[in-house]
Amino acid sequence: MRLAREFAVLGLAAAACVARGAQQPLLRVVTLSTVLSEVAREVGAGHVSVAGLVHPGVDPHTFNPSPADIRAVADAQVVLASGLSLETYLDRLVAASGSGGDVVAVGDALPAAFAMPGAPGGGETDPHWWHSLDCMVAATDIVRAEFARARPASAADFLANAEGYKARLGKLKAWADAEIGRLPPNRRHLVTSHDAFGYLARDYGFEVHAISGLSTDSEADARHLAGLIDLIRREGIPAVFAEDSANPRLVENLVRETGVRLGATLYADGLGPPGSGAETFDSMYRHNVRAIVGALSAR
Amino acid sequence: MSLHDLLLAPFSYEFMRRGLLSAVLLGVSGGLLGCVLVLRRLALMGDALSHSLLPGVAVAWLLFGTSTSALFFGGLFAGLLTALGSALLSRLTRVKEDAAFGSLFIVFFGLGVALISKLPTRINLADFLFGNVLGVGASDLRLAGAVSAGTAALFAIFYRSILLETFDPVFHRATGGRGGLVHLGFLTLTVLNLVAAMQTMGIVLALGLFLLPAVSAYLWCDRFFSMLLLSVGLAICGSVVGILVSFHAGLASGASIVLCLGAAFLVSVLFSPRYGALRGLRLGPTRPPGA
Repeated sequence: MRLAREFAVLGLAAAACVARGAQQPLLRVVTLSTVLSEVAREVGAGHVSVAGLVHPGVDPHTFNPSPADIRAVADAQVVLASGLSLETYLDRLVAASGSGGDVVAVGDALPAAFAMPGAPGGGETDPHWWHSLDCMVAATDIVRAEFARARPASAADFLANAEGYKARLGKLKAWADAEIGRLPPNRRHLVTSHDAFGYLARDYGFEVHAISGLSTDSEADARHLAGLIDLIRREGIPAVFAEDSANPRLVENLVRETGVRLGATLYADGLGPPGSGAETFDSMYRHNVRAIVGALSAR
Repeated sequence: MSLHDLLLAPFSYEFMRRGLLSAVLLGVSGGLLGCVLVLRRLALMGDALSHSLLPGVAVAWLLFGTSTSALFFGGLFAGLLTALGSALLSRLTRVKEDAAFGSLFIVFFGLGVALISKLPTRINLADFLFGNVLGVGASDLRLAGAVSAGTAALFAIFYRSILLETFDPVFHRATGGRGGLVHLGFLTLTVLNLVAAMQTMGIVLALGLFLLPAVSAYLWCDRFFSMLLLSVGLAICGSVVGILVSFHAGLASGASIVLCLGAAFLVSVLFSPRYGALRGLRLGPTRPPGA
């Protein structure tokens, strides 16, 4: 099915090329992030073929590439990764594939002012940058510049596509500003499974209280969980959130113990699968914002 | 910090009470089963077993999604096939039980990895198979209670058979004991306990509870019954101290309990008056009489 979809995409893109009388074959792009797949398709529309290796609903922190994935990387002219150490396997994957393509860790290329340190104590940078719309705009430009470098002849098209996509991101931001603006500042507490919403929190003045650290791999301890329970009671936080790619057990225990509501499941690590209502960046971001505002504004 | 803050305040949280209760319940059965495992040289069975669960879990995932009970029964089925299969192989062929176990588990592990690479979504199954002692829910607790009570009851009822089969299977059979049946029953019970422990509390703690208290007790006791008691006692103490250490020091809870049990093992292995390393260094190694 996946193959059929890829062929369909390929076919459409090829048809677009023929229609424009372009002679060049499509730029082969491989991404390791569902969000970057969308950005690449939007910016490169008509000129690139995009294969996403990490599928929706798969935990990118612990993704395990298959031989077919390595082959796809070997054939790629451009490899797009989230960066900021999210894909701990990136160097090994690229080395194993012997790929001569350009590897762009988009998160690492973001303007330094956008990068955000992780939880206090850990020196790591939070890799979940796509939850900030400013970062998304910057990432769109990074992808556009990379495509323009690889295919200078199509640079004008890439620019026009990127501007169109950024305009839609701008509309999304206006919507999110208004939506989150309804939430009083003292209600902006985000209790989640793992620390993935730091960027959203920074943009909109939330305080994030995650059960485990920046990766879904890190394990919680009893003192931390007890501290969260005290905080929920003290601040009267009305809801906590589970995530699509993490086991909800610990969140369920928080709910049992404090009697708070369990908000709708958030998409922390990428887009949702087909039919989830979060299969595009726009719908994923709206889903998260609606879930957060809805659950936290309830009395 | 008052004594109350140190020892009692942490248990004002429900998740701490649940976590401790599940560790104590499965520590009791793990302490009992662990003794037989250590004496029968099957100590690495738990480790092997944890790998062999993978294909069962993968198939359960394919058929039923992330339902925890489906994953439990999938894992249980694969674990039983491995354990009972290796017991049968060791009786029907020349291969010894540890080699049969090692061979079967790695085949199962390979099968699991292959299956997972074919799954439509490469999700992190381990995250759903292996629980966390802080995430124990009501259904987990019921499962732990039932498994633990069943294990203790079976040990009480079949104590004589287990004792004979552990120390002198030939004599056991000669006196009309159903040795094979006792052994298969024991393996079934162990698999059930391990899968339940891994699912409720995570793999590190499950393996720790099944091995460390029993090995430590083995270094102090010459009688089977006292070894069982000490092993169970150590498992309970380690769980209480470990979860408190985790609470006050902010350490991952399963690992913290295992480290406390590990400390008890280290002390035993060094200072046991008859079988410890210090005595061994002075007088040369000893072999225990009987147990």
